[in-house]
Amino acid sequence: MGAGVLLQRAMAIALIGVVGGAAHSYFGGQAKFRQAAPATNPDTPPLPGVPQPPPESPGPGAEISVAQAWDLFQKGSPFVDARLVEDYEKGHVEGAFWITADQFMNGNFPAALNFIDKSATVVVYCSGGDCDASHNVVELMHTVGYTQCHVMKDGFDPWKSAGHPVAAGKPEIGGG
Amino acid sequence: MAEKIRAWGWLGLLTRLLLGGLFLFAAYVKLRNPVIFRQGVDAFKILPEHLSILAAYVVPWTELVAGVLLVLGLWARSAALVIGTMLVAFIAAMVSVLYRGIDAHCSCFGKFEIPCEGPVGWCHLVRNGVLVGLAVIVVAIGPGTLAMDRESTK
Repeated sequence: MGAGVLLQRAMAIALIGVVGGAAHSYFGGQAKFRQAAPATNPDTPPLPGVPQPPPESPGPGAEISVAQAWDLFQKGSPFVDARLVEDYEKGHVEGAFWITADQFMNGNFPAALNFIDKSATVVVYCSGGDCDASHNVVELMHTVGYTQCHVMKDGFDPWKSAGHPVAAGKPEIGGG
Repeated sequence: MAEKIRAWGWLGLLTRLLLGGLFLFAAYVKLRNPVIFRQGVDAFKILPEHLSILAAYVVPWTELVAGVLLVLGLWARSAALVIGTMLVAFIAAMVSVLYRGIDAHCSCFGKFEIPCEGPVGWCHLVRNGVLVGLAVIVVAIGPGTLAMDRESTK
């Protein structure tokens, strides 16, 4: 077999990998990373006779607003900051644990999870906007038994702007 | 002479089965939880976010295709060339991580650390170097015996 055929076949193999991976990422993967909240259209009126869940009780994994997160904060729900430790140190929701997806690497169990009850309603946040670190952490927490996690979709800054309690400093657990 | 050819044939078979099986396993653990592998890619701080998401799927898919072909002995030399090229790229990425002093896990085999434990280090470089050697053997001598390719050895 000549070098030309060898290279052509190698490029064909790589192309199949790229096309397959891109298709998987586009059709299945992105949704897994983002784990978007159940689609709801606020402009669509509720169907008659169909019970609607109260707005204060979002489903597991759903995105919630700062106001809903504040409500959960007042009820004592634990908060998880999924941003870089530098960001956490500059400012975070008061009492929030610092847990990132990296801490789940190689089958590890983040130390901070030892302090969060698996039945608790947990609020996870990152920087808002395009940041999907909180969704990744929610997914990983789900794999180890935390099924009641919500994502504060707007992130930390609106929480701070709203005047809700914040703190600064190194994480007490898992911060090295 | 015939014995020598037979020995090369068995060497080709064993090498491609080892390499193919290992990369099929690597593809399986990555595709089983792409989020973990994506975090591993992110930890290297080489690719921008949208490319790291793509890489989290393209890398295992390429490993899957090449691994299947190696095990079957079909287009085995080309599959070994692809895997060898990927391994060289991985080595370059690891050298970059070590040079920058980043504490990153490779996520090469998910939670299984074969055989290197902890953050990316010299063990990972040596391991990948050995795997490049296996890929070179398959490229050089062909798929060996029991292969779907017509040519059994070079």
